[in-house]
Amino acid sequence: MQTEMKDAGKKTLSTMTGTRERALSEAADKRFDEILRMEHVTKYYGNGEAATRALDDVSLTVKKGEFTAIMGASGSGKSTMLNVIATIDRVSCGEIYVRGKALSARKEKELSDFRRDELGFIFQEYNLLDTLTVGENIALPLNLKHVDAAQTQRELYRVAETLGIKEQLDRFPGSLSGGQRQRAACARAIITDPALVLADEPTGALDSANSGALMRTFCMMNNGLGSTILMVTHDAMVGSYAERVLFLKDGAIWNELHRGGREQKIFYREILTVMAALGGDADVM
Amino acid sequence: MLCKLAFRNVKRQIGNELIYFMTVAFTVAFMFAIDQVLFNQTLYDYAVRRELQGGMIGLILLISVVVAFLLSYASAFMLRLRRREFGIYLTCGMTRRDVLRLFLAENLLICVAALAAGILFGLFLYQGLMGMVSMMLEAEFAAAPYSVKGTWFTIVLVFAVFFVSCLLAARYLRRVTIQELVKGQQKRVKNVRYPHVWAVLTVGGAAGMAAALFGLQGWIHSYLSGGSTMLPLLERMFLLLGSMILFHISLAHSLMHMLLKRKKLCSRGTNTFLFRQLSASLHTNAAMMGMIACLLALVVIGLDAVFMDRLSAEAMLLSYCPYDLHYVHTCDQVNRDGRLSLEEAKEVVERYTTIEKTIPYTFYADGGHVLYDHTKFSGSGYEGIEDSYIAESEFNALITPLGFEAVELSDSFLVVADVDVAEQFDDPELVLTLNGREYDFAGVRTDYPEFMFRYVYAVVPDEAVEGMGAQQYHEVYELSGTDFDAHALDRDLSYKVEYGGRQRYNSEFIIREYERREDNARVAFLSVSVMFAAGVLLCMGMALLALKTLTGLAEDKERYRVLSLIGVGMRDLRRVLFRQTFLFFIFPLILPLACGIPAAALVQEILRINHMELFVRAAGMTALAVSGVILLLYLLYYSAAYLIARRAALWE
Repeated sequence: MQTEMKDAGKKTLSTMTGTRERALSEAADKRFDEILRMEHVTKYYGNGEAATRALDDVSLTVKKGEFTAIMGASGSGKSTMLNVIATIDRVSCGEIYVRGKALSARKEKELSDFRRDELGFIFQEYNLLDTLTVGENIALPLNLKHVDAAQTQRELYRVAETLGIKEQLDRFPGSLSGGQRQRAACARAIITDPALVLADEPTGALDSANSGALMRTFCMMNNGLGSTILMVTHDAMVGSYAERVLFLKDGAIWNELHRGGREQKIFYREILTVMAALGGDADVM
Repeated sequence: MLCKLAFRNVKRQIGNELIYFMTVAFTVAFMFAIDQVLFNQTLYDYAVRRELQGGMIGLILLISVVVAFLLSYASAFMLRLRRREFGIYLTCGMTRRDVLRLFLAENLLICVAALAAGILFGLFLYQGLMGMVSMMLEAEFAAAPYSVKGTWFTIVLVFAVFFVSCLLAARYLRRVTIQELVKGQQKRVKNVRYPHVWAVLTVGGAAGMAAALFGLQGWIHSYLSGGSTMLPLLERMFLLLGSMILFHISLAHSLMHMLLKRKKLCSRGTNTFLFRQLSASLHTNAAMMGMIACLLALVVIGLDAVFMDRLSAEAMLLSYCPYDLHYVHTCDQVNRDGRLSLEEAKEVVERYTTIEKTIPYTFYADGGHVLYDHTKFSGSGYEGIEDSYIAESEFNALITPLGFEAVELSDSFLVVADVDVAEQFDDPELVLTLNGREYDFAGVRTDYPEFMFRYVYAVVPDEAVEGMGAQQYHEVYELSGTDFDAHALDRDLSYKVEYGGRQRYNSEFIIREYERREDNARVAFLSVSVMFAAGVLLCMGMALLALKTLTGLAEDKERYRVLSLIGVGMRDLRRVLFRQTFLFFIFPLILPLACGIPAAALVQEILRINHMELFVRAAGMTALAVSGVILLLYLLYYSAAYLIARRAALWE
């Protein structure tokens, strides 16, 4: 009996050990799955009576391979959230982790390296350097990392082909259409295989046709290349292409929607409904 | 309301307008100083005496053109810098007339302030210039009086240029659309067209410069041997400067294109960005780069030439006037009224200084022209020229106190000739027959000072000149000191003579101290003029480059912001900005500075040919000092421009 109990105990112990190991492994996996984690992030602008709270105790997590949209009215804190993640601005309190590493304690040089190595940016105004060709713009992040010329060329052609702008590599941004410029900006954002791609109103300067084309490009980047995308937009149609939508109101997360298996059009209508409620029309819900 | 707004705008934008203020203030200071010099009555009288008033007028015109160009450009720069602001005023409902009045009010404020600052600085600059002139003239410095005419000329010219700039600004503001003001005229960046053609032209420009320098070397030899005129010098200088302009324009178009082809180089950090930035700025400003390089080359060559002139003037004086005082009496001259006898003249000299030693010598002639037959001064038209001979003992008495070895002639003769004539005495079988005796050719010397103002003469044994007629009688004197009024002595020893229907003063005495002071005056006038012109051209070049750099900063700020977002740290951004601005600034300076080397080499060759070896090293050091000072001033000006650029482009 004692032996049996001992055996049972050992078994239990081994089970417990195995479970603990598996639990630890799962936790570790979860940690490595996590690309971005924000913990109780608050951001104030100004001092004293004139102080404005742009972010109010925001906590969220973005996993690897997610396509997340952040939506809200003007002044809700969307761009502020993107700016603090991008380290363009500093948080007033709270912490932000990217790939498990905290950002607040880093010095200016480390933050520059972080932006170069871990982030990719896509802006409303493209922000392509007009004095460089499209190819040089796209290759610039690799040049900053001192990647050798041959490998840079290979990566450039790979990314350009994927995004359908290979024919435009020797042209200057001024001679491209808005859609082509934005695709070039996307190529620049992903060429270093960053942990996170940040997009701030990427369709803001595009017409509807080009906006749709850009969103399909984003989906291809997310599904085909595995890019983790965090996008700020006020456009419900654009937001409907994401897998997950966070709604901000007065600097705090007000609601969250997940697309699941639904069609994009249905998800779009759901977003519209939430946006209406966000605007104060609670009866719509 | 507009005045209040103008005043507030000026106060707010003091950083941006600083470079405009500095440019105008320095330009006014230079202009004020040179106007004071040029309107100085004493200097003007001196210039008229030496028929230099044409040069003075030319200098006034040159300075005025430079000032007008610079002030207009600076004004246009201010307009371009703030066009977005003016566009916003128009969108708020201000009329174009009000905007123009605002711009003029602000510019007038800065212009008046810069004029006041410039005149204040110019007051000291003028005294500094006059101090330099006094030093060169070895006169005691006394504060030079200011000229009211010169002051008014400066003020009127500055306001005239300001008025013209206002007219141009009004024309622009009347025509430009609000969209263009607010958004700016979007320039499409393009690749350089025909880069290989530009590369070939670069090589062509370089070849042109090399050909010009070799041509100059050839011309020097030819000119000093009497086989050339000044015209080829001008041709070669035009070739040099024209090639330099072509070289810089072509290089500005082709250099960055060639660097961008090198993939390995471009893949390092921000090199691609840097090359593209430079490509755009050099391509747009290629013609300006060529002009600035040409002006800087003129500055370097001009300064080198004027300092060499000073050095060689000293050397030439020792050659031309080896003794303190030199008396020349042509023996067949008719006595002129008012001319003193030799004894009377010596008494006059003794009133000023003491004669410590006298060395008499005579040149003789036998009526023949064997020596001159070996030169180009022979044949038809030159029958009256006679050969000149000096006795060996008298010649040795002349040369040994000067450190030369005594000549020893036994049945031979020594030819003393100018450099350009000496080459023709290459026949070792040449024989002179004098007083029934034959003398062999002992060689030709060109390194003795001037004891006689002839192209060639011969030193012969004493017995060879027995029985010959005296051609010229000379006496040279060593005086006890040089501290006497050489001009007054020259006046006292001079006599009036009728020449070409005009009365002129002539003298049988050459006073070395008088010649030295006259040379000093000429060199001082020339040196100060050239240095001043060089200063103005240098400042103009640097001001243009600074204004060009700062004009593009509004767009550059946006580009540097994008770089920062992509992940370039502030230290790297500063480094890129430094490289971008420094290479742009230094581009037109490198070759002109390098021109100092061949310029110095040519001058050293001239000095060697003229047996002035003592000054060869000094010539090299002078050229180095000139280049060093120019480089230092350039770097100081660039540092100021870079600090302003950094503040504007890097949000520091």
